[in-house]
Amino acid sequence: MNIDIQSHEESDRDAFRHTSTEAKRRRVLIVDDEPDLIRTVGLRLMNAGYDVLGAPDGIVATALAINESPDVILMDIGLPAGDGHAVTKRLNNNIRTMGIPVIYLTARTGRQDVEMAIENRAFAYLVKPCDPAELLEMVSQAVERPKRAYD
Amino acid sequence: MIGLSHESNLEPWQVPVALNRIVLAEDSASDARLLQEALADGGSTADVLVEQTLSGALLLIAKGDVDLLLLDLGLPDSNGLPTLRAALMHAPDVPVVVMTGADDERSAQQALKEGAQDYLVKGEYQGTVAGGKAVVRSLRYAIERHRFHRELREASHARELFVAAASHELRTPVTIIRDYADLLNDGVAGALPPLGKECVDGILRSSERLRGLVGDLLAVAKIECGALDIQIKRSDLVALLSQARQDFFHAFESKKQQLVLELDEHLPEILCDPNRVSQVVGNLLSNAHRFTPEGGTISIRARRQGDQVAVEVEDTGPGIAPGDSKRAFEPFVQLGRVSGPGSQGTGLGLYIAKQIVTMHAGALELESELGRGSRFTFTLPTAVHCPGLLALHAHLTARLRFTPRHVQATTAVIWFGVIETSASDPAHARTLLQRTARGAEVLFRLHDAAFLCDVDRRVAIVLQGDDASARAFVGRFAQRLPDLSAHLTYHVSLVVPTSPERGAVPPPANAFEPLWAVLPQSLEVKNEH
Repeated sequence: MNIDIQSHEESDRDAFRHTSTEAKRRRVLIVDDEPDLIRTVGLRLMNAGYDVLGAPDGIVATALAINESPDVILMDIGLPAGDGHAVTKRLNNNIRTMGIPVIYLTARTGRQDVEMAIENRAFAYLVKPCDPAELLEMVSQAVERPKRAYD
Repeated sequence: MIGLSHESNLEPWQVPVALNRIVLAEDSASDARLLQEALADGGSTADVLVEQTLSGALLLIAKGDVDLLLLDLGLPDSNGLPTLRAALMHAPDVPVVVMTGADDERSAQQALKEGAQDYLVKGEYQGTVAGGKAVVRSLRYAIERHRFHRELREASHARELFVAAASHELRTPVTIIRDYADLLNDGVAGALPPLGKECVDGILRSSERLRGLVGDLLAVAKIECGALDIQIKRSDLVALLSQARQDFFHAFESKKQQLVLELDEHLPEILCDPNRVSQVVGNLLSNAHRFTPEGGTISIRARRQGDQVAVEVEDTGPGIAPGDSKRAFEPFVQLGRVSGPGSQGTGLGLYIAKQIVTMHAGALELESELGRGSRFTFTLPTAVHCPGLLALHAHLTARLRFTPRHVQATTAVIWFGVIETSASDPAHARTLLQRTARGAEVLFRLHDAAFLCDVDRRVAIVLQGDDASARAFVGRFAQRLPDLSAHLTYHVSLVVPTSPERGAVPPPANAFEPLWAVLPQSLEVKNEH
């Protein structure tokens, strides 16, 4: 099982998708500047039957979200090239991505960050290190959630 | 190449003290001349720039390259200790030596306490070479002492930043190690053979311990630089303790220890940050768990004690020798280690617990007897009092002109100087007052209040609390109050009396009258723009 993390330089997006034989697997985009975190969380999710995309920074995250339309996004806050709040706001304002639920997954616990996440209509705010069971539960809730009015 | 130039190789403390440019803030020409003569007598070749006003002197300093400020406290634009406070605030990098008359050595001594490096008494240094030399020596010493203090401050700040950054950076890899081990343990890579399982268990156990240690280090770093975030709210102690018992159930069962919970009926709500207090209880319980032998008993008790709630964690462990019980709360002190997997502590748990309890205005104490066990008791304030604050909040919000929006719109800055309101919950007081008037600053020291009122012409409300400690605090400053009021020309200093009987009578409405008398004026003046 491989998760490829796309970098700025590489342009062939298909190379960075984890390909799966099943047609209708749900896809999760993990945004984090720590490759090992994408890997561990990704393995956890794949083991639970999801396809996984990884983005190491804000720009790649935005591009993947728009082009790949993942079912859920796991968003870190401290990122190069646009922090998690900025990326989430941008995705909320984009017609192609506004319906994708965003789950914050971050080590930060400051009140400001939590308030910003609420303002950005985050689906959930999980603090690292996060209990795997809780993470899987949240992702599955996000995937199964009733469609938002503007979807 | 090293050591070519002698000069550049000197350590900071070897460089001779530079006394090249002095700003002398003095409005009397004759006093200024006398001092310049004394400096010349003492052999100083420093440039002396004489300024007659405080603002002029501060402007000169702002241009840079000034080694020392000689400050007369009585200047046309500022008088008394506020002169010094303004100088210290606006020119923190320049050592200040205060000049004072022979009849006012008391305020000179106060000036030393507030940050002046030294003082010169006018009339004591004129006319002799010895007097002049004493002055020059005093100034050099002032510069040196100022530099030394700054270095100490910087070093301690750098150390705090380092610990905070290091622990934060350590956290990520530790978490990742644990996550990978967790994945193996859960069979993501296939079922593990027995030995593989044992290895993974070892990784998990040690990374868990390391994670605890890193978390503790980060907490200590935050505590030491005052950055530990505490969010006080009304909390249910019973729920909190029951949760703690649940969290520790498996750990205690594994050592066949009994955990007994004895709670008074009708425990009042407490004012605390529930997450932090859970941490305190957790640290005490894990301590008790580690030191109590198999089959021992650990008891948690909670009872009301006046306006506080006391929580006890008692164990039947080996106890702590009387001489050691104070050291138990020092960081990295471990009194007696226990062997066995996962049984080492970090030596930080009790220290952190004590700091957190202290930040809640409570106390954590230890009673112990060798061979019989230990009992840790901590206290927390109950949520029923602080009527003064609540009443003030109600009064302020009841009057339309003091809604937050209005205060912002008129740009009038209302400053609340709160003398330790209810000593038990300063954070709560701060939140409440800031919500009442956005832009208000809440400080807890009277002389900070006096200073800001002087500098920024702000309005102060001095709110007297109703706790014993608050009364003691007010008592200590009471004698300074009239003295300070003399300087406070642009604000109301209002002492709101609150009832000594807790939770009883809020302050009478007319206690706020002096405030209404002044505030509307300042607001209306601004409104005309």
